[in-house]
Amino acid sequence: MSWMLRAVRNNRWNKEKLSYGWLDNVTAPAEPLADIADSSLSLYAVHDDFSNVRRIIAALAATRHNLSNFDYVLFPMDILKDNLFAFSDSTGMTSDSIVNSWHYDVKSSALDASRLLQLMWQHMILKTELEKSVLNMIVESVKNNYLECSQIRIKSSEKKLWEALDSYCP
Amino acid sequence: MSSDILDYPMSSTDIYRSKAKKIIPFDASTLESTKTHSHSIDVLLSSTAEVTLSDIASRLQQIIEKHGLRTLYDSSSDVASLILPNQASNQGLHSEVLNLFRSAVGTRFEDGMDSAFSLRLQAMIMTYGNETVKIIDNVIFNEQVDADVVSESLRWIGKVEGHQTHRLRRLLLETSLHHPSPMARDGAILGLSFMDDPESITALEYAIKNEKLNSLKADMQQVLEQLYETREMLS
Repeated sequence: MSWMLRAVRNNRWNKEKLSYGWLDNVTAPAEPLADIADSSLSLYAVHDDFSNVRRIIAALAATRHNLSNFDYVLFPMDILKDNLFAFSDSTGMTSDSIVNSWHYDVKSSALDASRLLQLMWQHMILKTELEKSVLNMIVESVKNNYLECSQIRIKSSEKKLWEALDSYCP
Repeated sequence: MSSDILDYPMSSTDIYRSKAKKIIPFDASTLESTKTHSHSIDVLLSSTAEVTLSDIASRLQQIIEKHGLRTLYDSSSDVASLILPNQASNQGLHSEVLNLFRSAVGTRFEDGMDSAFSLRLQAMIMTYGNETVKIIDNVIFNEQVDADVVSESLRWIGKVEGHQTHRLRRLLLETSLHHPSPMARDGAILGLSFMDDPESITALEYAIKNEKLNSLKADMQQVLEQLYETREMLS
């Protein structure tokens, strides 16, 4: 089964934290909509064996201001196919060209977004990578020449990262 | 004084609550050689409005001997800095912090991205140091503030640089592992992961035992494992 990855914020997707007495546990609350209510929703295709997840995370994390944890959801690509969402591959906006080739856009209206959210809510896997692990992923990508130092947008004040990259980013 | 005082932890804000009721004479010499534990101090103060710190120190010593608690504060000045009340001069800073928290409601925070809130919060901690941290502690436990904003603040409390404030920030994060809001607890967990200080291992182990939400328990465990690794690397 193929999976899609979407960067989110754990607080807006955690079923236990967003448990409301008035809402049954299969219906999605409104909070996660903030992460997917976009006319052009950005997703990344994950290999069946999840082998490219680290590379996707490194590429996305490198576009941020600060080194941080990385929260994301994985959900089956079939959700998009089976429910006739209009999605197509398009070049992503990260600094890793191969990761960009795994990028998909879902064209969605407000109605589509809420329909997609409900499906994701039922089938998703929510994950968090801690800052330290994200740092290792970025270093790994630089080491493997997936990312160029000059394209990492994280601030130079993030000493832990830049010290770890010292030998690769002179 | 209650004899059942080891039901720790409680909020460090209890210190401030107790102080609001009565200014307790601070006998530094009594605590000078005493190994103290923050949570025990909290519990003691919350259950005793009429005792002096000498009583507390003496009782603490008994508790420490009996339970072999580890040291979190190792000098009277550290204890004093937590216990002695903020003076009226901090009123302005308190209002500023409170306004900052209230004005951030509705902000869509993103991991790894700066916001007006995070930049201002960092600047205040860098400028006013521990005074800001104590006020944030007071605000997040005693004021009506948005849980998402509290969560964001705790992340940045762990993220901000500064050796001078390190200990107090760490203690605030450890206390916040028991905050009533799961979102706040999540922020505390991430804050501790940013700090990466193995001194928080005991606090995390305790919090895991008490956490009711499985997902947060798993998040705490993830950070705990990171801290074990860090401790291993440092040893």
